[in-house]
Amino acid sequence: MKKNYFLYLAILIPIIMVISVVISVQFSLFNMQPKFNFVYATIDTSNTYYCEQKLLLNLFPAEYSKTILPSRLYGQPTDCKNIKYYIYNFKNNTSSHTELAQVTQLKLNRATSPDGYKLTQYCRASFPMGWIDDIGSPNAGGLCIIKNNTEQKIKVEKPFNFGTYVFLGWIIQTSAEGIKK
Amino acid sequence: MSGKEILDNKSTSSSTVLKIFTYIGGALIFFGVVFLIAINWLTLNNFIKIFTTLGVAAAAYITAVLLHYAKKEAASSVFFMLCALILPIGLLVTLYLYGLNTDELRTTVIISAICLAIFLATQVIFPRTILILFTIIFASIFTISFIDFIVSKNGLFLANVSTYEYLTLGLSYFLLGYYLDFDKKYLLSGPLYFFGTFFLLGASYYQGGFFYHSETISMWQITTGILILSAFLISVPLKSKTILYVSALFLIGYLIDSSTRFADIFGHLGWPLILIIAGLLFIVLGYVVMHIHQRINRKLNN
Repeated sequence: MKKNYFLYLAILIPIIMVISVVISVQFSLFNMQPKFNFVYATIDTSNTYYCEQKLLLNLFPAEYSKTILPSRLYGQPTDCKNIKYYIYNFKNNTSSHTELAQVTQLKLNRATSPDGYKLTQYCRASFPMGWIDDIGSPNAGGLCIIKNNTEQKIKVEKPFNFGTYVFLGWIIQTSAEGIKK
Repeated sequence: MSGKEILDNKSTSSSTVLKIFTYIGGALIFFGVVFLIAINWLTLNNFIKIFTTLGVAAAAYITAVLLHYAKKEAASSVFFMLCALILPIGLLVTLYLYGLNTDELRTTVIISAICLAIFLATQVIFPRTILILFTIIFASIFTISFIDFIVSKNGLFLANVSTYEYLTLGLSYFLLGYYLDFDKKYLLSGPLYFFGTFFLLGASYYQGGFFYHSETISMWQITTGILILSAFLISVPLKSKTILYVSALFLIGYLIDSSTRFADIFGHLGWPLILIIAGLLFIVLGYVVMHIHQRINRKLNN
């Protein structure tokens, strides 16, 4: 019977691992509850970099005062018409459309939210084994919130054609209301 | 050499020849089926697609069972192997044709779970080494895909999940290898020791290696050193040269990795010191490995 202990242990270890992962996932989900919403834009044009820089220069002139707009590429549009603005609400995990005029009224923090969350434009675990995960993962790509060692993908409005997201900031305060939850 | 010994030798070599021919035959059947389906995929209707994949897997399984009862073990093993290779393809084709493979990870979990159930049940009824092998393979795939599915289902990326998956597998393989050693199933225990050591030390080294992380995580670096040393020590009682050589390779990598710290500590003297110390360590390591190798040989001969 002594030899069977090794067989039982060999089977038990993966089971313990699965249970640990389930507990870790539930614990992470419980902890991943941001209190501050954020604003983002989707740029749906072929000249995404130019439009992104122009948008940031427009919204954050002090921060991007040294930005030199890239020279116009031949044939690329510079009107940057296809920019849409959204507010992501963590209370119901939805994006609602907004206008530039409303965005300029908000007080935004571009770095970390007051409760310690960051946003990344590509969900990815650590290299190199994370890169292997990415190949088969349905969660690679898109926007992710990060806190400590945990990333969670959030469902945002996708750009239609060429597509890029521009994170504009965490909403600290609006002009009319107090701190938004 | 006596007549009986000559006959025994001939019998062993002829059964080896039989195994070689049957495995080559099995491989040819497998590739034939795969190419037949691949070339004619667009012209085949759904029923034929399922019939030529899942149907062939089922036929291979039934043939394997019948050959097992007929005591033709070599041929039976080959057909079990064919079934193990074609069954996942057949299940994937079936799920795809019925529109059930929307999520890649979920599909992998379902396919590996079905294959695991079939081969585990078969192994319980007909205990065979080939069936243990495929049970272990499908159980490993199921474990990893199930864990990844649990994490990704909630849109999460947890740090280092893959590392812990391979640590778990490595440990399980080690224990399984030791269990099979009791039954003298050396054909399986050797590869299990190899993959067990490789996964265990590889995952630990990834966490504690300077190459992968610009800031070394000390706890893992110490753990890796302890694990490599333990692997050396355990290779003797387990009489496994596989564990010895794999841990020697990891020790070399670990020492080279750790030696990059010398440059931080000793400045411009660091690199020459690294070369001198590395050279001495390699000489010592060579003698240690040879000594342990001889001890294992003595244990095997006793």
